[in-house]
Amino acid sequence: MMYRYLLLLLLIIVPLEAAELAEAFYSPDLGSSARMIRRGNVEGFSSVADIVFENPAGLYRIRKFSTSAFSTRFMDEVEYKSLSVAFRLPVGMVGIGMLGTSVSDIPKTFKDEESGEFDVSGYFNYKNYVSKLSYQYSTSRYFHIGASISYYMTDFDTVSGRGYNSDVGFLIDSDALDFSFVVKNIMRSSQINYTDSSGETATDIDGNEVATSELSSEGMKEELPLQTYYSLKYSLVHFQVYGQLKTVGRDRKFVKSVGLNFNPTYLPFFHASIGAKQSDVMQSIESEVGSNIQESMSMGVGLDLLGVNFDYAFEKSEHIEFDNKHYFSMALSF
Amino acid sequence: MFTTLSNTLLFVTIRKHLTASVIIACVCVLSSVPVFADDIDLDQSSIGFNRVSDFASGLTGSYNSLFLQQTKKTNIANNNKGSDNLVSDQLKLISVGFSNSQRATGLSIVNEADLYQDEDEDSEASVIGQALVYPNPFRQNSDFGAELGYRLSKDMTLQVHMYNMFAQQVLKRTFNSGAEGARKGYNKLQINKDTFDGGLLSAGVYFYVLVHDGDILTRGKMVVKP
Repeated sequence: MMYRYLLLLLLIIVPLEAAELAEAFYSPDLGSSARMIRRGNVEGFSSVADIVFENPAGLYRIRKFSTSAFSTRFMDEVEYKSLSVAFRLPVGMVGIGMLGTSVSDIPKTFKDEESGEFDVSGYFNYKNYVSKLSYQYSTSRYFHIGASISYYMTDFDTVSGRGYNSDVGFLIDSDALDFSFVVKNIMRSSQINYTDSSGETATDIDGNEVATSELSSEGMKEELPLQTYYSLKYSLVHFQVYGQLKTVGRDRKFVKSVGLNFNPTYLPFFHASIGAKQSDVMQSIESEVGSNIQESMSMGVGLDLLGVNFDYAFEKSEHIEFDNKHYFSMALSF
Repeated sequence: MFTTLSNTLLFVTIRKHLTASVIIACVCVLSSVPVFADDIDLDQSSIGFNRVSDFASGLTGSYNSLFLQQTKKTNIANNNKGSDNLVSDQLKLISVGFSNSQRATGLSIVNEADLYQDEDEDSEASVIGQALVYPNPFRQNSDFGAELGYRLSKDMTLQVHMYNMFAQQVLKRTFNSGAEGARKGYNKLQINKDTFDGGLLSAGVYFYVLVHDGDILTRGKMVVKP
């Protein structure tokens, strides 16, 4: 019993002690399913395989097998796709998931020395993948722990980045109130290491050639951002209320999320949700530069038909042209 | 340059006074001398006439693209730090013809011809070609960073918006018409570590949109390297 409390204490203290030193690696934390997004991105309460992206301790909710797929497209350019599988073994639950981000046809440019204008010399693609291997074990009906190994990789043009890290979490499940806690990227010394095979040169404003070392990413590192999530779910007849605190960024800012799900007992297969969340974004708006907390709302519906789940979520975007985001996900569980 | 001007006319529109126009055109081609414009004052963007006035009245010339092809560099973090470099000049004569002048009755000899210049306000606000970032991909964590280059059809109020891969806005700049970054011709905006006061963007793809009066003129994408 003692080790359990020591583990809890460790998990809660570590995030407060951690200091971030390098730049943060882009981590696609937009959500792993439409269900989670329509509830305000509150993590830890999915009951299908995509829980591997949220809190591996939540795998206990899957009986034997589950698979989940998620897809969306932003700004007509950015493709998000995820696929996850979870299954029960005699020693516990195991989950595997991959979440990918890709952008195609990015122009590679050169400078016309005569005119000083820029032109296209070719095109390249951008890919970013996060893969997770999760394991979950239940110590009792109420207490569940889980851990994940995460592998990160990114490729674009002549640049490649690779790194790994791990997530640790636990869940306390009571009848009406559930509590989820997870620390992501807990290995502080593990970073993304980059290689860059380019030997290109460039000229600066004054026409001087820029040193290749200024342009190359060879040997560069990015930190995998430490993230902690404290999430609650309270069930009340037809409704489930969700709340979450998440720490992000160098200064350990707290960002909040809330969600409300309507799942009437007389229509047990139907879900309708609304949520609100905060995000921490570094911005340079006119003369104002800094890290700002932005708020957004989401909503959506879902159907749970004999173990097959269909979910849709809608979210407003602040993009001047593509101001609506649509998410679709599907899951199969038994 | 000016002695070959008559041979570089792209479009000649004869609206009225066909006979006079034919005569003038013949004189122009045969003599290979600057008929329509004897001198061009680039600084004042004006065209002076005298030779043609010996032949016709009511002649009205217009041009849409008389501009200096300039390289404007603007530090996006501090507009006051930009510098201008003249690279080359260019003249495009779009149309020359006869207007419906009440003074002109057939071919007559007068001392002055009416020449009007299309104002920028009449031309459509647009980005000519692509707005591109050089180099791409680039390291923001360097003194050089990168430059966003685009050619504007005229002076205009311009906004540059930039978004990350979640469609969250990370940058917005507004440039007043005629200011650096919003001038007719080629403009360059620098993006480097000063853009975010030393803060660095995560490596990844960023999307920029150029906006004028709420209309999206063009958009593009760039990649930041670590």
